[in-house]
Amino acid sequence: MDVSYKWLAEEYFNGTLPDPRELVTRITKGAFEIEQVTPQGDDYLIDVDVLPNRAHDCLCHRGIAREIGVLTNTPVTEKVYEPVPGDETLREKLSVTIENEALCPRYIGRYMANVTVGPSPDWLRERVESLGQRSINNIVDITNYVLFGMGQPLHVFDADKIEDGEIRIRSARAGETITTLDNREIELDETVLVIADGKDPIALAGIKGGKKAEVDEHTTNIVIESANFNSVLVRKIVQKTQIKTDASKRYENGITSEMAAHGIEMATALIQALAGTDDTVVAPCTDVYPHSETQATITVSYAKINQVIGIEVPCDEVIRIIEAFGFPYDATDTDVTITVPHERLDMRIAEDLIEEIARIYGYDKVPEELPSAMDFAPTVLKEFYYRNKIRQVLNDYGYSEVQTYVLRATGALVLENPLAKDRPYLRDNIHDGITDSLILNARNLDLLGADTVNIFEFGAIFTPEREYTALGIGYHNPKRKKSKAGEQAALEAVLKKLSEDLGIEVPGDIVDRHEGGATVQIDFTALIEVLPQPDTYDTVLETGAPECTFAPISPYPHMSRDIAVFVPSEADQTALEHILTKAGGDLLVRAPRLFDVFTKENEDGTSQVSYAYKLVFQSDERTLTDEEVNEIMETVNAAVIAQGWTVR
Amino acid sequence: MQVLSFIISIFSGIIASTIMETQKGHTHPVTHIINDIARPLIEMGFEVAAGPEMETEQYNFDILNVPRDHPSRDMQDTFWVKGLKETVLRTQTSAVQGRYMETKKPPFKIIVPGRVFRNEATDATHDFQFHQVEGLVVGEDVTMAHLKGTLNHYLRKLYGDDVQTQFRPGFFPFVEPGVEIDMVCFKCGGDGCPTCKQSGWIEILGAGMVHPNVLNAAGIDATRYQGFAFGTGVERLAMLKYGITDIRLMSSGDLRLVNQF
Repeated sequence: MDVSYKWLAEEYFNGTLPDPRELVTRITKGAFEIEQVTPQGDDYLIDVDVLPNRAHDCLCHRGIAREIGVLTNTPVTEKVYEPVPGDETLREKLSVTIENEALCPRYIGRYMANVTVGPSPDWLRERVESLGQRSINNIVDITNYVLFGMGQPLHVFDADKIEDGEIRIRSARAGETITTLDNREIELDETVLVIADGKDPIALAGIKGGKKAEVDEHTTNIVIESANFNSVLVRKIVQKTQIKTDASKRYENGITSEMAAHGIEMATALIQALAGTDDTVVAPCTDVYPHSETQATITVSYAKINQVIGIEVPCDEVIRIIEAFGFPYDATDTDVTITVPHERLDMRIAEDLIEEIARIYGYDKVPEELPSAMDFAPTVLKEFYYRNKIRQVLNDYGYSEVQTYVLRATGALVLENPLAKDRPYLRDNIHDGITDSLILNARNLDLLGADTVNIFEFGAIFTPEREYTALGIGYHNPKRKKSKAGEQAALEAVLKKLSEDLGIEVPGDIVDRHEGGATVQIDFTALIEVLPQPDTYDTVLETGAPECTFAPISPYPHMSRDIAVFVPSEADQTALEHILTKAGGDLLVRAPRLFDVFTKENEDGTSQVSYAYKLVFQSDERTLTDEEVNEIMETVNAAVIAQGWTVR
Repeated sequence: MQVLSFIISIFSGIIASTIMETQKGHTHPVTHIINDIARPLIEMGFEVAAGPEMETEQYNFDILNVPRDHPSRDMQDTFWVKGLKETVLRTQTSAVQGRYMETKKPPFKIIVPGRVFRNEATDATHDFQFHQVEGLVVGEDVTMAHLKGTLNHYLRKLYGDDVQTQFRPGFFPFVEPGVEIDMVCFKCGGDGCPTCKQSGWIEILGAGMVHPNVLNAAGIDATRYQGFAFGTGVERLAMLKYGITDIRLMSSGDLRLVNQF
C-alpha cells in the first residue's frame, strides 16, 4: 500500500519524522517490507508491503503511523473528531434495515441537507493526489481521505435519489441489475449483497456505488454510509463481479465494526467544514449494530515469552513495549494481561502478543543456539537415498539429469483451472517429457560437444489411482540412421548397469520413439519397495558442487564447421588447438572438439597426424550468416597454414 | 569473454585427453542445491521426509491454519485437480507437516525437499512448478533462538563462515511469530547492487515458531510442545548462487543448462 511521507509527518508526528531512508530501514526491520520509495515533489511515496495479518489495521496512514510510533518510540498525535449529535427532527429522513446481520454486522447512515458539491480545497486535493488518486469533488475526496487516513471505507449517496428515504441491506434478487458508477451494468443474483433503496439496488455492498443515487454537481442533500460487511462475502462478490476497489480490499481482509462510528464522525465534520453552507443541517446517525464487538484480552506469562523467544526479555522492557503500543494492561509479578484494541483483529492468542514484543525488542537480540540433544533417531528415507544413488550411477555412466514440466497436453487427470489451455493435464508418463528433451538437445549436440543425448529424470506421475515417482531415461543418437543408432540397446545397457549396481533386477519397458530416440520408464516407487533400507546416506548426497557462474544461453542459432589438419607427428596437439581457438575469435563458443585422428606414414619414413576438429560459432546478439562464418574459417585456415601445416 | 574462457577451461581438458571415452553426466542445479541444504542438516540429526505432490486441501491448507475463504489462500494461487475431491497440487512443502505429525510423536527434526506448484503467470523469476525445502523441529523446549542457531549453522556450511543474516517480521499462517530471513547479498557484500535491489540483503527463508493451531490440529499437545519451521525456494537459491537468469530454464529439459553443472 502506498503511503505519503508528508501525510504521515504532518498529521501524526507534528511535521517531524526521521528522514525517509532511515524511516524505511526502521519499518523494514521492525514491521513491513518496503517495496519502493518514490520521490514526488516535496513528498515521498512509500510502498509498504503490509503483511496479510495486519491488513485489518495497517492499510491506512493511521495504522502505519502507529507502527512508526512504536518502532521509533515516538508519540503519535491523532486528531479526534467529536461526535455530532444531529438534529432529532431529521431522524425520519432515513431508515436503515439489515436483513442478515451476519453479512452486515453494522450499518450507519446519516442524512445531511444543504451541502454544496464543489472542488476540494488545496490541502485535501494534495492529500488525495499524493496517492495517485484523481481529485473528483469535495464529497468524494473526503471519503477517500477517510479511507486512506483511518482505513474505514465510506460511501455517499444523493439523498434525493434514494426512493422512500429507505436503505435496505439485502441480498439481490435474481434478475436484478445495477449500473455502477463507472457505467458497468452488472447482473445480480441472491449471492450478492446490495444496498437498496425502497426499490432498486443503489450499491454493491462493500465494493462500489451505483449510478442511481450518485452524487453529482447538483446534489444538495446526502446520505453518508459507514458500515462493515462480512469479509468472506465481500471476497466472493469480488470474485463473482471481478470488481476490486480500495473499499473491497479493506472489507475482504476484515475490519472492526467499531471503526464505522469514527469514520462517520470524521466524514461529518469534514463535510460540514468543506461542503457546508449556512443552511447545512445534520441528522443523527442511524446506527444498526445488533451485536457490538467485545474486546479480546490476552494473558501471557513472562516465562512463556522467554520460552518461545529463547531469551529473557526484562519485565520492564515487556511493559515498555506494551505501553508503546498503547495496549491497556494489567501486570502481576508473573503475567501480563492486555486488552486488544478493536482494530487489532490479528491478536487473539499469547503467541500473537509474543510476536509484538519480540519484533519490537529486536530479533537481532535473539541469541543463536543449537537445539539441545533430542530423543530422536532419524531414519534414512529410501526415496531420497536411492534417488541420489541412482543419480550418481547414471552420472558416472554418462547420463545427465533433466527436469521437465509436470503439466502437459495429455494425461489421465486434468486441472480444474489450468494456467495454459494447451497443457491442462498432469503427466501420466515420463516418456513424453524425456522425448521432448531428447529432441531439443539433439538440435544442440554440436553446442554441447556430444554425439548422443543421454538423459534421465525423476518425476511424479499422476493417475486417478495413484501418484508415484518414475525414473525416466532417454537416449538419442541422431547422427546415425535409426536402424543403426542402437538406441534401444543403449538403454538395455543402462538397465543392466543399474541392476548390477543396485543388486536387483531393474525392470523397465523400453519404448522406441518415432520422433527419435528411445526412452524407458521405471516405477521408482515400486522399485525402492524391494530395495534394502540403508542405515546412512553415506556419500550418495555428494554432488561435487560446482563453483561456477552460469553462462547465459544464446537465443540465436549456432553454426558448425569441421576442419582437418595434417601436422608433423612431433607437433604438439595443444598448440594446434590453441591456434584454432585464437583464430576462431570471439564467436567460437567452445573449445574445438576433436572428432577424428589418424596417422599417415610418409614414403620418406616421416609421419603426419591428421586431427579433425569441429568448431561451433554463435553470437549472443544476432543470427550469424554463412559468409561471416566462412570468413572466420578462412582466417583459421590461414593461421594453420602460417604454421607450415596443411589443411586437408 | 570471461564466460568463454570458462567454458574453454572446462572442456579443453576433457577433450585434449580423450576422444571416445564416456564423459560423466551432469547433475541438475536444483539437485545440487537441495543436497547442499540437506547434507549439513542431516549431519545435525535431521530426518528427510516426503509427501505427495497431489495433495488434499486438508493437508495443504486446513491443517496449516489457512482457513477456507480467507484471503491468505490468495497468497498462493492454487491448481485444483478435476474429479478428485478437494485435491490440489501442493503449493508448499509445508503440506508434509501434518502428514508427518499425525504419525510421529515429538520430539523430531525433519526436512522436506520437494516440488510445489503455483497457478501464476510465468516470467523469468516465476514458474508454475519449482522446489522448496521445508524444515520442522518440534520438542518440549524448542525456541526461536534454536531456529536462529540452526539456520545460521547450515547457512554457514552452505555459504561460508562469514555469512550474516537478519530476521524481519513476516507472516505465514502456520507460524507465530513469523519471520523472514535475509542474508547479506553475496554479490556485493552488503553495499547494494542490482541483485539485492540496492538493499544489501537478499531474502532467502521464511520461518517462525509453529502455530499452536497447527500442532493441535495434528494431535500434538501445544501446551507441552513447541517448535519451529522454515522454508526456502530452491530455484531462487540456485539462480542467486549460479547467476541463472531465467527460472523456466530449470524445467526445460535443456542440457545447455544442466551441462554447466
